[in-house]
Amino acid sequence: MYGRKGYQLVKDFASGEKGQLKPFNSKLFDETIEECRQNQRLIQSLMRKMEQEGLDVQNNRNADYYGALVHHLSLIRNKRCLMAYVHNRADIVRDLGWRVGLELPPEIQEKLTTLEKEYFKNHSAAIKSYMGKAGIDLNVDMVPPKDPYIKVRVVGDIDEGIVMSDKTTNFARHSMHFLKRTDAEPYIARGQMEELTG
Amino acid sequence: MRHLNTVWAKTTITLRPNKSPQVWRRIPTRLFLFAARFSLTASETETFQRDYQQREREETDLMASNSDMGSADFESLSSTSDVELLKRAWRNEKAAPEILPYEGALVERAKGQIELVEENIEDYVKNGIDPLVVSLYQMDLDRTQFLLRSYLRVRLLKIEKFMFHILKSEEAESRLSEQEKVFARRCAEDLAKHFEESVLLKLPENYQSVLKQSL
Repeated sequence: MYGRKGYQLVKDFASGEKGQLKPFNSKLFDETIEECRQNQRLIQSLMRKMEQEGLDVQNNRNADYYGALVHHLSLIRNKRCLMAYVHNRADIVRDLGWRVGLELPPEIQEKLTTLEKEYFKNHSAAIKSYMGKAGIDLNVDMVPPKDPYIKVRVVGDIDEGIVMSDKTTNFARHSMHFLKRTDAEPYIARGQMEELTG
Repeated sequence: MRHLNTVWAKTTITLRPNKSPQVWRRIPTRLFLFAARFSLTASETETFQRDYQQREREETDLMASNSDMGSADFESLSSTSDVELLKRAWRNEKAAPEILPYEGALVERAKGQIELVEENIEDYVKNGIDPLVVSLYQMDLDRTQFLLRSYLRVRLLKIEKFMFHILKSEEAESRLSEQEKVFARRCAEDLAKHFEESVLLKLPENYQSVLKQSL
């Protein structure tokens, strides 16, 4: 049945958690594209048949015309499903760019295709060039600031000897530090540090 | 400090600081909470309040001298400093579903003031003024910086969401700043290229346009 694969593709996307990506379903994607091509071939064969019988394509509404119309409409529907799939994934990729920063952790990277990774790079470059021109760094201060300094505990692995704005600190695992909020935010966003409240 | 929740409604609080008898002072609630947080003495609170009001007065003087309004309107303006205007613009931008006109002059002024306060803070740290007072200034600076950054971020997110529409409609495009226009064009190009490479080039010929279903 025409259009079923497109529908499955969209359902596959919708069945994931909102805001989370699933691995790119290239098998279903390619099958849908193959179905589009098949539709196009059938349209062309039907049009040729109509012209061979000497009938004008626009005005004579016979069975061949309607057959071609059905193929055309199902092709458009498949195109919509494919575009929706790609577009929604691109939305989530952009959102990741704002939340996580430039380097994506490997669990996310394996779910993206090479094209999506390229798109991510291009988009991050566009954001960076805007930030450079406006002169303000837009990646800090995601949450309204409550305190200028916060207590953090190091959870993941960070390289040694990172330079913070006031001092150089050595981040051993499970060590607690009292850092400036703007310095600690990128680490918290990546999950390498956690904030100690209370 | 749970009883303070009921105190929010009042704008000023009277208190008797430093256990000194018969000396009552009225201070704004927000300032009281700041002071209580950092256990400032009353005199430090007053110094901070005076500095803060002085700065706000300077800002409104600057604003009033820039505008052409008569003295009658000056009264209504004198309660809106740059920070208040920025807060209002930020609230409007967050609540509106469409992108609003860009407040270029406001953003420029806010950036200038942030730099000024940063320099002041560095001077204070060098001169060895009480670090608690310095951290209060720092907090205020952080808040203003957050407002500015969040304002620009909300605008960028809206542009990303509606990029094709904004580039098509002249009126919407006129509401962006110059750099935002460049950003919007780049975004749209990136997205169109991404679509073309993943989907459209693999489809048959008449169906390869980004914006139309078929030709």
